[in-house]
Amino acid sequence: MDIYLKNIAPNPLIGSLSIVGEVWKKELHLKPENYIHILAPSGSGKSTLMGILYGIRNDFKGELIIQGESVKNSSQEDWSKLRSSQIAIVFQDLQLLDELTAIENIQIKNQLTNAYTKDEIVKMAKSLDVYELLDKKVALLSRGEKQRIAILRSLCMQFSWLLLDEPFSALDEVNTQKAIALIKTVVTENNAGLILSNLYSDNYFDYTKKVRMA
Amino acid sequence: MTTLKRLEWLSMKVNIVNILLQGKSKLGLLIAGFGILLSSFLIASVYQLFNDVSFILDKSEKEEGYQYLQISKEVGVSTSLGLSSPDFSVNEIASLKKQNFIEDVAELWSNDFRVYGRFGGNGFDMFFTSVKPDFIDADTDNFKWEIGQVEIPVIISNQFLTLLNHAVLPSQGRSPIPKIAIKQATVDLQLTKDGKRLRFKARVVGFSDRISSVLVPRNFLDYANNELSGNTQTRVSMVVLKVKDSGDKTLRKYLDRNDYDVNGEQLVVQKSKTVLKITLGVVFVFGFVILILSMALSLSQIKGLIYQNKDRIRMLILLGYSPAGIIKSLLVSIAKLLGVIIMLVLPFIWIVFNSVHSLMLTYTLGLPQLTIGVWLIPIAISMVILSGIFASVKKLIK
Repeated sequence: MDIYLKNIAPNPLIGSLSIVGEVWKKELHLKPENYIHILAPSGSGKSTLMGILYGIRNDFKGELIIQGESVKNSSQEDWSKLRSSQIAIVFQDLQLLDELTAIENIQIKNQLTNAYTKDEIVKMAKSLDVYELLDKKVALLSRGEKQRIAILRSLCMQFSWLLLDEPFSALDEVNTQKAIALIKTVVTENNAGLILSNLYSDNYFDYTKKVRMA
Repeated sequence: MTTLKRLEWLSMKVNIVNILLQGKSKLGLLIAGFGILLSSFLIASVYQLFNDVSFILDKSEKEEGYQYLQISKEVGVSTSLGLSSPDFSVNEIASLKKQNFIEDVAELWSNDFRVYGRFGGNGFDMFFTSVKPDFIDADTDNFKWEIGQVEIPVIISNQFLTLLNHAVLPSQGRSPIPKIAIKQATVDLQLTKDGKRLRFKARVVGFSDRISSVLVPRNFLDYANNELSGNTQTRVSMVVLKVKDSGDKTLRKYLDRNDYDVNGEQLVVQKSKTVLKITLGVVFVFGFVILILSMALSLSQIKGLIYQNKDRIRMLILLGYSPAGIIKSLLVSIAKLLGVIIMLVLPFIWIVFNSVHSLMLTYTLGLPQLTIGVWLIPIAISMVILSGIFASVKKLIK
């Protein structure tokens, strides 16, 4: 699934956009199965970009084209279809429900997409070392544990693109590597691409393209 | 927790509405549900009771929209002394017919001989009356007599039957007799006057709510009066009035002024009927108010639920749930709740009214049917609530 960004400029950032950046007010073609790294210093609009790509934000000028169609006037229902079948995401703020258990948070997504059996979910949970946490309320988990649950939940669908907004910010090296291994497996199974945004340059994946936001 | 238990747990389905309800007070929703249950029951019951009341009190009047009063002349000292007649004169009947609040007048012609009946070894005195057929609120197909016919068809008052079954027979330690059995039996009759005697048999062919008497065909009464007393002019002891409103003040003043007695407390019945209908109306309004309050409460509870869950709903939408899907899940859950309410209300109504109707049958008040409206009212209420919630939720979630 091709994604084109044509001269996009978020309304709140107009006037303060960096001229050296390769995203805002530029043309950017994100080809299928590409691994894109977005290098974005704080305040450069990294989460804003993720929000635009995921259809959460519509306050921008320019044109976002997904599957050959501009999404400027797409409805909530259109975005729901994309979010349940084409674009997966790990939010920077994770977007988990603290009152629910880890498994309930995962099941909310998996039940919608019917992506995996319970055995497969258990297997993935074990690979991220969160199996023992599944019946615990998210509120009781550490930031790192929550981040792994959010990663696991994001993978519970078939997708063309996986958006990762600072996905390993709270993980130690061992858990980061476990998460990377699982993500690579699932992305490969889906023949999908991924877009990872980070504050610094990294080598988590074999990126086909590195883009600077500022 | 063991791994096995955790696997079982994993198979648990996550319900969107449960997610929305998690950690929130359900008391308001429970009160709203109970209110809907109570108001549905009250409104459906009032509807059925209104139908039952009409069945009992209006069945003789319902088709035409008229009421019937049976009147007689008040028996005073002068009547007892023979100075005035207890019968209606031609002029008096003509005067009744002239009154604009009286639609029609029917004379109740009486027997001028003694009637003695025997049934089951018991003897008793009886009386006969006749009235024109269009005033009879009973099936008159078999109410015919020809000279030479031994069996006389009679129509008796339902009040007599009630008295017989609930006062006379129980006092003798005997069981009540159903209408169908009464129609099978015949009473041996002996009609006598001045040494003349005629023998007949009487068979009950119908029951009247309107006329408190024992009705026989007019040609039989004329024949018997002529044969036994030589009277060709059959006397009129009572009159039946057909009126639009038996509670009309002018009518009542007219009846009082002329010393006419209304039989069977029919005016009181009319007043009671009005009071009963007003009472039912009040209960209906009460039920309706509860319904409106319950609907408002359920709507505000659902709205509150959505406001309180804005973040959760937003998260569900971010995960790929469509707003329409969330609304559908919510409505399906509410529809299930309303379904449970209906499933509770309908059998309860069925049980209550079957008992009421059995009781009515025992007291020979007839057997009204459960109306289709009784079943439709709770369903219609649920549909209205569901539509209201749908409109409200759609606006909020979109």
